[in-house]
Amino acid sequence: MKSFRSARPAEADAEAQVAALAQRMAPVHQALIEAQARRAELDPTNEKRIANLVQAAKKRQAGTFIHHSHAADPDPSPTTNTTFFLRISSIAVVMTAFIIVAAIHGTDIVEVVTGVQLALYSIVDVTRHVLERSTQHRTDRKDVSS
Amino acid sequence: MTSELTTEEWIRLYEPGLLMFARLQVGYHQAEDVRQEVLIRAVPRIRSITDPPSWLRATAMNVINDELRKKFALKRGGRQTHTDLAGDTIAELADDMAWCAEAGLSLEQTAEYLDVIALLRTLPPQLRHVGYLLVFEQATQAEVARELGCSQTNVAKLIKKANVALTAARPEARTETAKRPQQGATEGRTA
Repeated sequence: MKSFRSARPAEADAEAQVAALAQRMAPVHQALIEAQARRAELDPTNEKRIANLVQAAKKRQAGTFIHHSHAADPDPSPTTNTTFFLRISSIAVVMTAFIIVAAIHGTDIVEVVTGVQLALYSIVDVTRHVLERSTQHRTDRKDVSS
Repeated sequence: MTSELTTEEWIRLYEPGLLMFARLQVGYHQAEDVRQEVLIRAVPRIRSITDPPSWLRATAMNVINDELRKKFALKRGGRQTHTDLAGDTIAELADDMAWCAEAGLSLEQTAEYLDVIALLRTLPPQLRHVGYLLVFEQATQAEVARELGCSQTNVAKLIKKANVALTAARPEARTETAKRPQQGATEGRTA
């Protein structure tokens, strides 16, 4: 029985068909984009939306994390936001406390530095492990989608 | 040119194209969310973006993939497929038709556009992206490779896959497959 693969048109034909389709779709695409632009111009809330969007982008850039998809909310609740600065400073506080406690106990400064170094290595190791798993997950996902 | 535009003008210029791409990928309602997230990422760096349409599309794909990954994680082991994406409801179709009418398209153009959109939506996200570039942006293989961040060889393979899938989904191919339902269905998936 004739297989589907052999029944389909030659590859060159398929490419030519896609090219011809692209030629026909070019004015359609342009018209649709222009219609979308007109639709946005006529929308009375569009200016406010763009202003909110720019403001949200500035907040995001300043390190404010916004946890919901409608991120253009100009006044997000402070309880749902954590600044990157706070996270970094909390790590710095823990490290400083560690060094001070070690110094109070009379530990040699070289040992303290070595301890901190080991802690940092552990953090890097864990991060690398997480990243590897993330990459693997992404590869799996790509396999599934393709 | 881009550097002379204000942020608001930049958004107004590139937003419609981004929205159209996002609508093809995830349907109208989710496209609004994708557009918002992509533009928030874009605004701080619009001066450094050299090819805005391409950057916006690539970022939109990242946002969509992030969203899919979240859904995938929530399913706890369920297999993620492109059918998780929305975009095939009657409301979406009605909105697409209204949009075509607003654009002043003829009935033939509208019918062909809706056909193409329906065909592209049968593809997985990456092939859908390639199909969009080929059909609507008239992109070359080099341009597609640059946008997807892969080699031209890979793009050629993707284009072949997209061509096969689009050809298989065409009405005449479907009719031919319907004559041989079991064999056509099995081999169509493996092709």
